Amino acid sequence: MSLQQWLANGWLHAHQATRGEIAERLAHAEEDLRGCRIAELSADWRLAMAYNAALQVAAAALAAEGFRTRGGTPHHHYTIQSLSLTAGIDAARVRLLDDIRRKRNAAEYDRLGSVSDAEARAAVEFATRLREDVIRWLRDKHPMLLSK
Amino acid sequence: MSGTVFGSRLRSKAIGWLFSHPDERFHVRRLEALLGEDSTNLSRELARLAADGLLVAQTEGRQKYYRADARCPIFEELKGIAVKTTGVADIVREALAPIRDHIRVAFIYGSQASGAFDVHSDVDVMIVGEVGFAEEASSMAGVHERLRRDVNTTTYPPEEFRRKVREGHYFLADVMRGSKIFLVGDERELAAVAGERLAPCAPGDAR
Repeated sequence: MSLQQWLANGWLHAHQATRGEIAERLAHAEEDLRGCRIAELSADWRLAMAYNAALQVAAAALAAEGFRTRGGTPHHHYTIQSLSLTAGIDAARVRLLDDIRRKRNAAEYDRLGSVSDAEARAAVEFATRLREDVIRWLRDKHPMLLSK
Repeated sequence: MSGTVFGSRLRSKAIGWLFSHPDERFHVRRLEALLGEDSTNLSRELARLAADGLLVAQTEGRQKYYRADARCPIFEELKGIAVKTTGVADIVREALAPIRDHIRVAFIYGSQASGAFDVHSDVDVMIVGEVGFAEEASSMAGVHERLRRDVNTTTYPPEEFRRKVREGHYFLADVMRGSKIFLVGDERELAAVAGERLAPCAPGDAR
């Protein structure tokens, strides 16, 4: 299914991204990833920040393609799944991000403390690499939307 | 775990599914898809189980629905066996099989293990082993859909697990105290990984 079909299904809005918006989303992701390096933070929190960073990166890619998710839909789900249709992220990595989302939800709502340090580290590595890959893709596909 | 714990494989699968989802009713075609079984044999088996008083059958229009019968005198026992064997634990156990060699111990904890689950309950799985994030995610992919429940997995390398148990980490302390359904290893292996001392086995003690 294409993003145009997602739009027709009412899952997305058409959206005109600006260079400022993309820069802000990427900066937000970078800030979160910097925060992940604070060793004193709990593993739950570090994984949640890595997740937020990955979500911002995915939203930046979606915005660059001319879309944003609609309120009232499972918008995290669509933002994550859109990565394969925007930056060409493979299914295994998309599944991994969905797994990070599940761990973050469990830790946030009813399993406080359930994230291990190893999982938090893996989530940070994942989000860092995703950010690099999406920036590379933006440079190729939407250079006008990247700040100099 | 034997897939024929209730006599036949088909019967085990039907009881396993319906008693591990006791708040829901299912029509035969849906069960056929969920269990991957032929509908003729399945219909026959479901009718038999209803006649034995284990299931309730309801007909609406041309659809026949089945659910676990909560009035059945052995309802709680069947629910417990179903979760531990064919219903939930075997599906998760099967999913972990490809990474089995990297796992020291794995178990289900929380409401599924204690029996206090309902239709909204997730399945909580703890894995202690040298299992990477990607390995875990790819093994567990599909399990959510198969169980029609969210499965929350936490993976600890043995060293981190031992350290946090020793430090009395609140989450792990709670898990260690609670009920468990072992998927890989057992209580003794868990104690060994956690660095806890257990009383030595009595002579002739079966392990």
